[in-house]
Amino acid sequence: MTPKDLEQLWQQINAELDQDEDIELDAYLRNKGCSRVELNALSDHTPNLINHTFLDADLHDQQLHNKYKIIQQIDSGGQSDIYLAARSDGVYQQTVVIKFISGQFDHPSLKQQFLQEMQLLADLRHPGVVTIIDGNITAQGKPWLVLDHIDGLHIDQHVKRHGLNTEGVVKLMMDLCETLQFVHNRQVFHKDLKPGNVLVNNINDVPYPVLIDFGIAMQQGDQVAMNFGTRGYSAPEQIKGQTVDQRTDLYALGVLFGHLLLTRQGQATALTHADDLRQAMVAADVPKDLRRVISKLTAVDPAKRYPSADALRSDLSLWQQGFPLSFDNHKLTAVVAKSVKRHPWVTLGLVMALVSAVFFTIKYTRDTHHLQQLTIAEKNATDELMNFMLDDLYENLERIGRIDVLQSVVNQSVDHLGKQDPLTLDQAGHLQAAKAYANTGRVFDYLEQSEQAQSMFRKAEKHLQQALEAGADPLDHLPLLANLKVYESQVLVSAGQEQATERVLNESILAMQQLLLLDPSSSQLPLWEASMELGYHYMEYARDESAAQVANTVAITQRQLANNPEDANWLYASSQSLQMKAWYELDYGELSQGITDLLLAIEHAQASMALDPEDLKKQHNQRILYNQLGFFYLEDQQLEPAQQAVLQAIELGDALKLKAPFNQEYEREHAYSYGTAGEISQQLGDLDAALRYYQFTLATTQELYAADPLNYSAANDLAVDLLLVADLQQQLGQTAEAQAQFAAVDALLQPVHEAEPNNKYYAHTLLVTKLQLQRWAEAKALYELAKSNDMVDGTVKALLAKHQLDWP
Amino acid sequence: MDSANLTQLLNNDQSALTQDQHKDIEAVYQRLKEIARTQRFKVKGTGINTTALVNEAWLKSQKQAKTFNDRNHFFAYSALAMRHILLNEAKKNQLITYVEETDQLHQPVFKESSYLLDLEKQLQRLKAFDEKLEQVFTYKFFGDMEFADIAEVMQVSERTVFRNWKKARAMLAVAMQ
Repeated sequence: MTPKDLEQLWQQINAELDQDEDIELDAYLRNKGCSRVELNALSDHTPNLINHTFLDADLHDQQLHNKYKIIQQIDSGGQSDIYLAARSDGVYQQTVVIKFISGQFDHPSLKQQFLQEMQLLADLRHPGVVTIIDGNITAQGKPWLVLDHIDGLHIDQHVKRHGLNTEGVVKLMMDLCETLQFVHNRQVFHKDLKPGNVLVNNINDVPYPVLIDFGIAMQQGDQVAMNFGTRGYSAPEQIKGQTVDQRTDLYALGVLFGHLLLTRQGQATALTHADDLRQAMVAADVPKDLRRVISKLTAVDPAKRYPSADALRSDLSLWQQGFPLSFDNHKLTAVVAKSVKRHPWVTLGLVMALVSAVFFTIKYTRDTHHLQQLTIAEKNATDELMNFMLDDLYENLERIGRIDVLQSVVNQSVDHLGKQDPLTLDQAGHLQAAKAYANTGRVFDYLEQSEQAQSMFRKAEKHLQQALEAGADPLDHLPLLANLKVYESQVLVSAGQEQATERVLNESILAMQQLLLLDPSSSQLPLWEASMELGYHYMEYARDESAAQVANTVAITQRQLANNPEDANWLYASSQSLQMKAWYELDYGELSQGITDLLLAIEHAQASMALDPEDLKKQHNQRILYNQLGFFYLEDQQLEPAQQAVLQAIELGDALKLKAPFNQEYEREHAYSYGTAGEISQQLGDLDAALRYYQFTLATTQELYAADPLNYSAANDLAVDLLLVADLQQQLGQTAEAQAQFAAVDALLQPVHEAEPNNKYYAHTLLVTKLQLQRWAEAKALYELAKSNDMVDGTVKALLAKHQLDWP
Repeated sequence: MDSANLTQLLNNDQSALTQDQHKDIEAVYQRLKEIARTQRFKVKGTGINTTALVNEAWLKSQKQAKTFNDRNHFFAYSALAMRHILLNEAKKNQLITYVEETDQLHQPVFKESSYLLDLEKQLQRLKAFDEKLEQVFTYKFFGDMEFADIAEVMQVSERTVFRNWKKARAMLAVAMQ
C-alpha cells in the first residue's frame, strides 16, 4: 500500500467511525480484509521484549555472583583487588581469577573505553597470554574481569625452583619473545613486565611463560592516568611519561632477562637501575654475548634497542646454535671466533684453523642464504593473506558498508609491506606487493585519508613497474594497472588534479584496451569505471570532450546489458551510467530528459538490488539516485515530487543507517538528503523546518571536513551547507550571525579556488559567497567565469536581483 | 513536575525530546527496573506486567517525594516513558541482529522488537494524520489507562476517547497488515 492509499483508507475509517461509533471493530476490520488480531494491550504483543527490557538488561551484574563463588582474596593493591574463585553455575569446573579494578567508570565514555580495552585483550588469544573469560562494569560502576587462573610460579621462582641453566633461561626468553611479538603486532603493549607478571604454566612438564596483568591504560576523564610500570623495569621514556611502544616492553624484558640470569646463580638482588644490572652480570660471569644482548635491550635511547621481539628472538636463536649475533654480522673476527668455538676440533691444528674459518664463514653465508629463501617464501604467503583480507574482505565488507573495520588490517599491512626488501622480490612478489599497496590505498581512500592513499598508490605503481621489468605476464599486469589508475584518479582531490586525473584515467583506459586485445574475454568493469570517472571529470571542468565521453560510457553498459540483462553488477553499472547522463543533461539544460534518465536509472538500480538484496552498496546507490531525483525535481520547480523523492531517500537512508551505522559515506549522503529536504522546505515557505534539516546536514559535513581537511570537495560541501544556513539566518533576521558565517565560508573557500581555479563548482560556491558579502569586484570576475561555465543558476540570479545588479 | 508542565510535555512533539526529558525518562526506566526486580519474586513465571509496574511506581512516589500531584498525569507520563523505553530497547536489539548471531533463546525478543519498531513507524504516521488519535493510543496501549482517566488528561469527553481509541486501533491494524 502506498502512503497515499493508506491515507485514503484512514480518511474512510475516520468518517465511518464518526458515523457509527458503536460499530463492532472485529467484524468491521474483517470487512476491510484485515485478518490480524487487533491491538489491545502492550503485554499481549511484546511480553518477551518487556521482560528483556526490565529484567535481563541488569543480568550482567548479577551474572558475576550467579556464576562465580569467591574462594579467597589473592591480592589487594592500589590498582585492583584480586580474588581466586570457582565457577559455581554447575556448568563445568574451573578456577578463575576475578579482578576488580579500582576507580569508578560511571561515565558512558569511560565504560565504553574499558569495554573496548577488554575486547582488545579478549582478542589476544595466545597460549602465552592469560585468557579473559568474562568481564563488565557493575551497576555501581566498578569494572571487573574474570581471567583464567594460571596455576604456576612466577618466572623467577620457577628458574630458582627448577635450577635452570643459562640455556633454560634463554629458552624461556624465546618463548616470551614469541608472545610479545604476537601482542605487539596487535598494537598492544604490556607496560609492566616484571617477574611478578610472568607466570610459568607447567602443562605436561612443558613450561611455558604466560603474561598476566596487562597494564590497561585507564583514562580518567581527559587526564591519562599514566602507568609508570615498576621501578627498575620501566624504560626511561615510560618514567618520563612519553609515548611508549614495543621497545618499552623490550627494555623491561631486558631487565627481566638479566634478573633471571642472576637469579639462576643465586645472586638476584633488588635492582633499581640497569647499570647495577650490568655490573652484577659481569661479576656473575654471565656470557658476554648475552650481556651485550641485555645492554642492547636496556639502551636509554629506544632507537638503539632491538626493533622488535622477533629480532631479539632471532639473536637468542643464533646464540643457542652458536652463530654470530646480529650486531657482529660484519666482523670477520667474531664470525671466525664463533665458528671455531662452535667446532672445537678446529683448534686442534693451527693451519686447519684458518681453513676451517674460511670454510665456516662460507657455510654461515650459505646458512643465511637458506634462511633468506625461507623468509621470501614466508613473505609471499603473508602477502597473499594480506591481499586476501584486503581484496575479498573489501568486497564483502563493502556489501555491508563496513570498510572501516579494515583500518587495523591496513595498518598492519603497511607495517608489513614496509619491512620487505625489494631486492628479494621476484615478479610474482612484486605483483603481490603492488596489489597489496593498491588495496591498502583503496581502504585509506575510503577512510578519507587521501594523502596516505596517494602514497600507497605511488608504491603500488613502482612495484608494478618492477614486476614488468622482471618479466611479468601482461595478462596479470594490465588489469592491476587499470584498476590502480582508477583508484588513483579517485584520490586526486587537491591541487593540480585536473591534468593528473585525466592522465591517470587515460592510462587506465589504455591498459584495458591492451588487455582486451590480448584477451577479449576479460571483464570490462574496470574499463567502464575508468570511462565513467573520465566522463565526470570532463563534466566537472566543463570540457568539450564531455558529451562524447558520457555517450561512450553509456554505450559500454548498454552493450554489456544487451548480452547479460540479468547481471546485477552490470545493472548497477548501468544505473550509474544513466545517472551520469542525467547530470550531463542537467548541466546543459535538458532537465526533463535528465529526470527521465534518472527514473530509468532508478529502475535499473532497483533491479540490481532485487537480484542482490544483501549488497548495501546497491541500496546506497538507490538512495543516491532518489536524492538526485529530488534535486532534479527541485530544479524543475516540481516541489511535490521533489519532496516525495527526498523523503524516500531519507527513509532508505534511515534503513541503511541501522544496518551500517558507522559508514561515513552513507552518512554524507544522508546529510545530502536532509540538505535537499531543507531546500524544498525553504521554497515551500517552512523556514523553521528548513533550518532544522540544514543543521543536520551541517553537523555531518563539518565532521567530514574535519576528518580530511585536505579534501577540497569536502571543503566545498561544508561551504555549501554553511551558505544555506547563513542565508536562512539572514531571512530569519539574524543578520550578524549570517555575516559572520559568510566571512567564514570566504576564508575556507578562497584558497581552494586559488589552487583549483578551473573547477566550476568551487568557483560557483565562492561567487555566491562574494555576492552575499557584497564584494562586487571579486564577485564580478567569478560571475564571468560562471557564465562561461554555464553555472549561473537560480541562486546567483536571485542574489543579483536582490541587490539590483544588472550584470549581463 | 507539576501537572501544567506535564500537560505541556504530553502535548508537545514527543519525537523531539529535550536532554532533560531524556534524562527524566532514563530515571523512570531505572525506577521501573528496580520495581521489576522485586516484582519478579512476587509474581513467579508470569513475566512482567507493565501495568502493575506503573501502579507500584505510583504508590512508591506517593510514599516518597510527592513530585506528581496528579495520579492521571503520572500514568500518562509513564505511558509515554514506557513507549520510549521499549522503543530504545527495540532499536538496540535491532542493531544487535545486524552485528551478531543470536541463539534461539532470544529470537522472540528480536521479533517483538521489529514489531514495535514497525508500530512506532505507523504511530508517527498516525500522529501526522491526527495527533489526538496517537495520544489516546499511547495512553491506552502503553499505559493501560482507564478511558475516564485519559479523558481527564486530554480534557475531552470519555466518549470521544473511546471513539478515538477505536479509530486508532482500526487504522493501525490496516496499516500494519
